[in-house]
Amino acid sequence: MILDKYPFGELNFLNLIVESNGSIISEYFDSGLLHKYEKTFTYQLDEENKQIKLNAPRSKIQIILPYKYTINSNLLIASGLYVGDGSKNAITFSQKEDNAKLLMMDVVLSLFSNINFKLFINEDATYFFESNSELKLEIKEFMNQNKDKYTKQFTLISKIDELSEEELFCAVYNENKYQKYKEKKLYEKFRSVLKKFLVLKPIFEDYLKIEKRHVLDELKVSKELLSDDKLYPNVRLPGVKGGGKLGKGSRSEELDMRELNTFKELFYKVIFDIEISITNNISNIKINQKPWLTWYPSILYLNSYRYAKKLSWVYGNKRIGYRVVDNINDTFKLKWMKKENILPKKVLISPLILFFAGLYLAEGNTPKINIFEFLTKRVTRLKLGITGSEDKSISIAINAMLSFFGDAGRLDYWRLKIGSKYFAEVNSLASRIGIPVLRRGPGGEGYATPSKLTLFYINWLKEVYPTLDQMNLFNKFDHVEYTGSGIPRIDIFFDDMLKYFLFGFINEAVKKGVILNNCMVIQK
Amino acid sequence: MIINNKGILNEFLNLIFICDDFDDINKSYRLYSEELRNKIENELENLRISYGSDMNQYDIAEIFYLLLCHLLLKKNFNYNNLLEWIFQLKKGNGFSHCLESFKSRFPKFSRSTKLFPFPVEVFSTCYALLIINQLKPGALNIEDLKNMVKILRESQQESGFIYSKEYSNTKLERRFDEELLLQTYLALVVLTIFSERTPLEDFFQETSTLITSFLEKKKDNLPFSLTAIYHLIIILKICSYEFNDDFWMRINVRLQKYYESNTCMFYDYILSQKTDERMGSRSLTHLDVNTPLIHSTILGYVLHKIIPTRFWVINELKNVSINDISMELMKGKAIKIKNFKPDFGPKITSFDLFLIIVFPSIYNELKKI
Repeated sequence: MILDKYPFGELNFLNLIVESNGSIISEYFDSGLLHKYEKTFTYQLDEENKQIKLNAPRSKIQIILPYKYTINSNLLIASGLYVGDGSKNAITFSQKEDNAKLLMMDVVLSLFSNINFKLFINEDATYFFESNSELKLEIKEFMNQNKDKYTKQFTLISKIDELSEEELFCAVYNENKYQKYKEKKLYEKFRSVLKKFLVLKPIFEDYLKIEKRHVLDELKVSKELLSDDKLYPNVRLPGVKGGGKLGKGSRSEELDMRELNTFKELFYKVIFDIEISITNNISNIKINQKPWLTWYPSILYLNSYRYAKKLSWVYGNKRIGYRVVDNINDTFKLKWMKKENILPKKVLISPLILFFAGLYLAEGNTPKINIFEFLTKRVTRLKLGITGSEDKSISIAINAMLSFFGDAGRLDYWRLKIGSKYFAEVNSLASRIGIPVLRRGPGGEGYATPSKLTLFYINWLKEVYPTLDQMNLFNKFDHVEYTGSGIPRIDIFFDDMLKYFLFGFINEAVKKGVILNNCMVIQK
Repeated sequence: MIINNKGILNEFLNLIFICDDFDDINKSYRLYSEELRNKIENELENLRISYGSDMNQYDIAEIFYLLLCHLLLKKNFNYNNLLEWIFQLKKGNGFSHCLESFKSRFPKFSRSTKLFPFPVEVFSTCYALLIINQLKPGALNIEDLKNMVKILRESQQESGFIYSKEYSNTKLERRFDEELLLQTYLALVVLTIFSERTPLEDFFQETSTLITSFLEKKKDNLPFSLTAIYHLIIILKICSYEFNDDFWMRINVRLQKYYESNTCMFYDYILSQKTDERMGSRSLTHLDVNTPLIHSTILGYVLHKIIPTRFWVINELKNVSINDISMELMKGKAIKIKNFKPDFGPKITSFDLFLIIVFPSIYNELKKI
């Protein structure tokens, strides 16, 4: 059975649009903010082709929707991806990994045809330099290969010591930005490369663009889908994007689908209602069963036993896999190194698991590129954990792991991370008790004491993440870290030996892998 | 060693500019209405009960202020159990802040902390020494006491701040000002109480020079929060630092920014000054909720006792009933954090209660000015 051909449910656009007279309303709670979306569209029904022609107010763009759209694995994975990495204000999707972006484009095109995509490639200027402030070798080579194109830059570079930093800066940006940048700590830290960056910025951006084109070509992405003029490289001032130190980059890529913005209420309705419905199913909430979104009773199973036997990956210089041993009661023993777990031989592939696959690609602690490379290439840093700042995403992750691996998929431990935007509040809390906030590790990112603060956090977390409380998981708390800059969030971790199985599944579910499809069975 | 007959904690309160006389607080406290006193004492009892059963939940700072509240109000407290608990925290030449058995609450509690016991820290040693020597002077072997005081002094870092580096290699610039100043403040208070002053003159002078030069990198040469400013001023007072008009002017300007005139309360920090630690840039704060807190409000008033060029807020305070302000404070003030509805921490702490108890004596003194 081919996974992405299996119907998990359907979206009934006819019901959604006709019954509400074109009015689409949805709400979504994300990172502590409630987003409300509401718009009334005009529509015409094409009964012959069973299609709906939808128009947004004051817009000439028209999209054509089918009366009914089958929910397949791609849409479920893409929904998880968008919930994790998509903007909740404009339809843009931030994800560095190309396979994930391709899947997103595929799904968007199948829902709303004729959409033009743009890809923004953002990088910190620090990426282009060695730690000694020299340009990286590959950049030098690139410049030399294109000498004729960059004569202006070559001339400027040859007399860079004589050029004024302020003038160079204002030529690229403006005086106001110059003054603001000078106020930052980064200015002194990266001043040694600032003038070079200002002169070479266009070359760096061309380099990024060409580098990306090569990758897209390798993935056989057609130029109709993403032509060169739809690639927008943007190299930021040194340190501004978080490069940290010279030689280290901070790449991010944003798939821009703003053409759809006039229909964003509909797009969000699809993505968020899928998540809400899955979350309600976990909690057995039967109310508000949406007539426009229905799930079919799933009878698609993964033969885990066969899959575990067939799965192999690159480890060191060789290809290896799990050791798999038969066990009683339709279970098997999965062995890796000195560890073993008992897994069910058959796993029901539910919307929950596929949504989680997408969510993991967005919020998982594993570098995404490693998930797509470990089957064919030696990679390090494969860790099985996921970050969530919302109770619903934590609930989805915990329940999906349990339904995928049985008892072996139970949560191992979790930790709280608080970013620098909240340090003022953390210090005020400590001051109210009369204690200091103590950090560990040179940068202060290590585990933190004192423990009394931890107890206060735990009480707070019980309200923010009720799932952890309901599932008695507070005894799995590990520690607190003051790290990063963002919203207080928790990292949950599972038994690390399951990572190859899960990452293999995610990899093949996105890339439509043969082994996975061979292990799918329909059983009534 | 100087052991004050009136009790170590009287000296402590004196040093931190809360009051000149322990007994005076009890008298001033009667300024509060009976209703308010009942409310305070009920809250104190609730806090005491909440600590009663589970020793794992005890934190030395909370216990210290809980004890102070009981002593000031001449209430009963099980002092024997308290001493026994504190001696369980003793490790070598110092004290940690809570029991090792805390970890049993969380079986997964960091693998690192499983390998290493809770560290001896400057702040926890200071609180422990103050408690022990108030309740039972001599309970701690005199040699141990001398050693601990010596180690506190030796814990001074090149920056002038006093903290233990033994268990934490965090760089100075990544430590919070609040941490540096609180630990140094406590260490200097303890050094002053338990040592002869004369041999410390040079040490104090050097400390004030180093700390003021460290703060030159900060906005207005001052730390971020009102609590940290309070600790800084106590440190400099102990060090006999020669304050100049410019310093007091900067303090005055800053205090005005912390002040919230509708409620006569003080914020602990100024929203617009929140910065991102990594980038050094201003944070976006339009969604932040800054609440004036109990401790920052009362410490804001304590600062008015200290600063010579006083801010007009004292006149405002004279027109407001102390009962009204404290009644409002006793409703509890929890911290709210951006994007989250639940309170971040409790509505009231033992340190808050201690400050509410001493507030009338501070108010009396401010009225005299």
